[in-house]
Amino acid sequence: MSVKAPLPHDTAGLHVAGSARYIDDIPVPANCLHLAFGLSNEARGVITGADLSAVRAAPGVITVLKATDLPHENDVSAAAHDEPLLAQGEVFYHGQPIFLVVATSHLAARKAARLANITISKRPAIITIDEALSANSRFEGEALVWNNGDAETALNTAPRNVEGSIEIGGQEHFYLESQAALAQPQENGDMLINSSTQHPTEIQHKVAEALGKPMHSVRVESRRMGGGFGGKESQGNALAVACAVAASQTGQPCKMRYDRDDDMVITGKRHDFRINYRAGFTKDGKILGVEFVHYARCGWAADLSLPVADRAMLHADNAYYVPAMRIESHRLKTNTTSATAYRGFGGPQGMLGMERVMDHIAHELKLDPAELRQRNFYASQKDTGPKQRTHYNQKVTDFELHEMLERLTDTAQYAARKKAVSDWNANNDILKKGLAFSPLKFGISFTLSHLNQAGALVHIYQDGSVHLNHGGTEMGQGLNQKIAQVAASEFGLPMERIRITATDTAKVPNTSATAASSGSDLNGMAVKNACNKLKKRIIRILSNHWETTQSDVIFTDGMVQIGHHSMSFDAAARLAYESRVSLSATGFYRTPKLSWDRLKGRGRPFYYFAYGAAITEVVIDTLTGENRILRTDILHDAGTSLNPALDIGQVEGAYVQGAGWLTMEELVWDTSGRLQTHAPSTYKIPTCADRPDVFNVALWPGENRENTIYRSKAVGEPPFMLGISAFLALSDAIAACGEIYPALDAPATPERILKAVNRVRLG
Amino acid sequence: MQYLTPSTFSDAIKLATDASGTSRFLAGGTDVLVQMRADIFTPDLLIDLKKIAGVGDITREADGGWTIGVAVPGAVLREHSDLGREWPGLVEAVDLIGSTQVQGRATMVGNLCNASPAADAVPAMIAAGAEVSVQGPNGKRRVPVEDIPTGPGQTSLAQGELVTAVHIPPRGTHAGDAYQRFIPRTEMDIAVVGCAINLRLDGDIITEARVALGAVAPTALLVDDAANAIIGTSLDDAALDALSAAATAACNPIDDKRGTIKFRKHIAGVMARRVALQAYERATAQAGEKA
Repeated sequence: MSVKAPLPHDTAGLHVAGSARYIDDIPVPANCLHLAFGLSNEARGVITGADLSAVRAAPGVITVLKATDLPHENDVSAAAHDEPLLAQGEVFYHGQPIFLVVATSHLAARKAARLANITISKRPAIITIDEALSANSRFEGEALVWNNGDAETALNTAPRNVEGSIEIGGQEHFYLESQAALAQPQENGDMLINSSTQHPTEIQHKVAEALGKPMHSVRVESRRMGGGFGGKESQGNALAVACAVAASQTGQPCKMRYDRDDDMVITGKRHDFRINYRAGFTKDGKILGVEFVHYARCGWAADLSLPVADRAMLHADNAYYVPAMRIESHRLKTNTTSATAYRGFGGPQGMLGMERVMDHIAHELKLDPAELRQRNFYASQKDTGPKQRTHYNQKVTDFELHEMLERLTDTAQYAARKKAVSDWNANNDILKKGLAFSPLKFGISFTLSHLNQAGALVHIYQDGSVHLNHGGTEMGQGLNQKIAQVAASEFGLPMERIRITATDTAKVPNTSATAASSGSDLNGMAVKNACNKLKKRIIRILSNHWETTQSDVIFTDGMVQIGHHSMSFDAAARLAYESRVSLSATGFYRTPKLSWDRLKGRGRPFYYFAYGAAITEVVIDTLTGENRILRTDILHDAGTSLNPALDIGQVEGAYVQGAGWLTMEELVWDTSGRLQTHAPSTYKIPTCADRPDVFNVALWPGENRENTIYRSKAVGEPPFMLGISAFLALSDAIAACGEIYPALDAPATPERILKAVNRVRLG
Repeated sequence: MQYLTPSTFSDAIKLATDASGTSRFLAGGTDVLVQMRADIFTPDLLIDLKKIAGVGDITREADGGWTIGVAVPGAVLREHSDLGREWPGLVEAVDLIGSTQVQGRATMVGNLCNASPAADAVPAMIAAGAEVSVQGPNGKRRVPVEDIPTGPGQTSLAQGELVTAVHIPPRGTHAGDAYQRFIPRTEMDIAVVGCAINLRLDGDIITEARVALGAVAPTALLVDDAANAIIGTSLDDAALDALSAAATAACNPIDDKRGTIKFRKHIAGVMARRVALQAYERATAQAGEKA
């Protein structure tokens, strides 16, 4: 069977050869126009004048559009209708698009955009979490509070307590292909959009609104993205809408791509958080109650901030049973770029809050941090007692981490290395080592339950070759290959008989974003559903043909077998065609068992949990703060992996990205709200050389207890959070410099590590 | 934009001098071409120097020194059989610039004339005592490397002048150099602090030293106080402390997103100490080889 086989990414060869087409590679008609935005250079203010005459007069400029020139909706928000494509009267962040230049070349458009004379009367900008709190600037009116049990009493009566606070930085997506879109006018005012997007249906929806057309007039195609990471869930709307409006007005194709600096200044990033915590526990480290206060900096528009902040709350327990928990979540509105989806969607921040609590307690009690964690784990799925419930009342029935921890501490030689690190630190003053374990439990499903649906379209041609389409998008993760493996397995065909083409709203409508790690879960099942319909039709034909019953039919090795009879799949397809049977079918899937009340914080938002565990060893230079990851061991639960090669690739990449978030990637805004780190010269993502020197990644050999596609588990986001082990290992190395708790903030840049070392050394 | 490939430096200078609009010299192109692509600057005239005889050569001079052509890329420097043995600090500094791909193009002279305070090659060239030949409408002159950059993006080269070669002095005996930099990750990054030291020994006593710092002032600095702190010593703890203090004192950095003033000054002190120990070790090893 093709599923479970470690096949390479279906277009890996094209990526390497440079022949895989991204938006900017699509051949366009010679009259194609190019767009650039003119941006606000203030974080907040009222536009008092906009003299665009020099822009209009610049070489190559065809037209310039302002908000008042837009024919219909001026909105590119995901849902809240609070994000104008072009600023209308007021600006709310530095880098907000104010006008749109349409020119004969990309360079001409960009050059012209700089010639505008925009006057903005400044208003006091709210940049930081503290400024937002003192101005009571927030979304949802007030903080969302979830209570489970009586946390206050638990804390007040607990034998021991810790409390503290952690700052958690945001993160730039840094997809290698920056945002891009292309609009080509069709007859009758229809529009064809090519977009680098995780969410073709939303692009279709927003373009239709902007053109004042029904959705059937807009077709969106997305072949692949050069990375998405959540940054192309809603952030591509502006480019696609701009292209569509300009194409509609000029009658010519229009293309737009952000240069890296523009992309970093304009688009949303991961939410930065501050998390305050108080925890009560027994003297052997059993947690009795925790109170968290989450402060999320959401930026100027709602975007996806509410579900992001919800997911942070949902992961505040990480992998631990907490008898009493109170979480207060503040969604703060600031004059910064609107924070958006990013791999983990708030989960990483919520989880880091809990891992910080664990780290703090272990330091306080001088307990082995892995041992402490295991004491607080949810009960094993093998445990026969009543199942424990999370702080939002979902039963934890599939908990794997006891067994995973046991296996990982063994293969990573945790105990021996813990001692070796301790011996090293006793004998070395300048270089200190740290070793840390972190587990993860991540809930799989969109928390907005209706998004948990997917469609597919499968054709069998009369030569027996199969063409299929599904609602998911390919962003490098290998979704198409996994889905093709599902179809190949269902039909018993070799992989080369299956072809998946670009995601297309004209083929599969009303899709959800490829997000929440759900791509293969949802679309795999939808494709399986379509394949089953077609198989039933073929079986009926063959049963009639051989005048036999429909029992024991096998699709395998390119053949269809019924009882003693056998025919090639290709011949069966031909027979079905000649028998006038439809060889095209749609498939559909909706995730079962979900029910969720987000305001109360009660229900079953997740179909199941994915698990993972990591042990990371680091070394720091206590005179400079420089640091290296020496070794990382990971055991990750992808259920019965659809494709172990792709899944291990996801785990490796996610870990490095997660470690980058918490170490070297630092976003800096100045006091007037200008992003200071808007290029790779100042914003540092990990390079190949920043991978762990020793990097052992294995998949946990267990199947999903829920009936997912071939019992696999989602893998896109969860392993990102294994990067937390790198942060904890740095904290462990710093702790070796003295007695007090390091209370390290993220990202742990060298400068921040050096400060923490000095703090700990002074005691 | 016009692109021309003169075959002599004199022709190149004449083209630049006669140009009516803006002009740029092109060697590796890792700055110029990127600036053009990113719409930072597009010259009216691009003068490619790579067709001029000798610009790709690394030549041993009669006195034992080296002359390096202006279009010799980092990758060629690194693979040279003798240069890196004699001047490991200099070659390692050039090798730190950019990625493998950039190394195939980027040149020492480009790094110098781009005049970034954070350039990696420049402190190493200064510590080595390197000079450059400069040619212009008014003739030729030879200039110490430390006199070329005058500020971020600014050089002392006059209109129409260009650097035509780099001269590295004879290595001699009992000598060694080293360059290290601080960056927040492990590769492909811009120095927050860079330090190069070149020194010579008589027995275990330092008789000559040059200490240069990068990224801590508007230009790379030649720090005499730091050199004097170790000359006449065997690089004992007192000398290292004095060196470290002198390096920290010489810094005049900016406070920015890459590092605060306090952090950069501290790191300069730590780096100077480590680089001195490495250069000293290399000088000791070289002395052993010659003996």
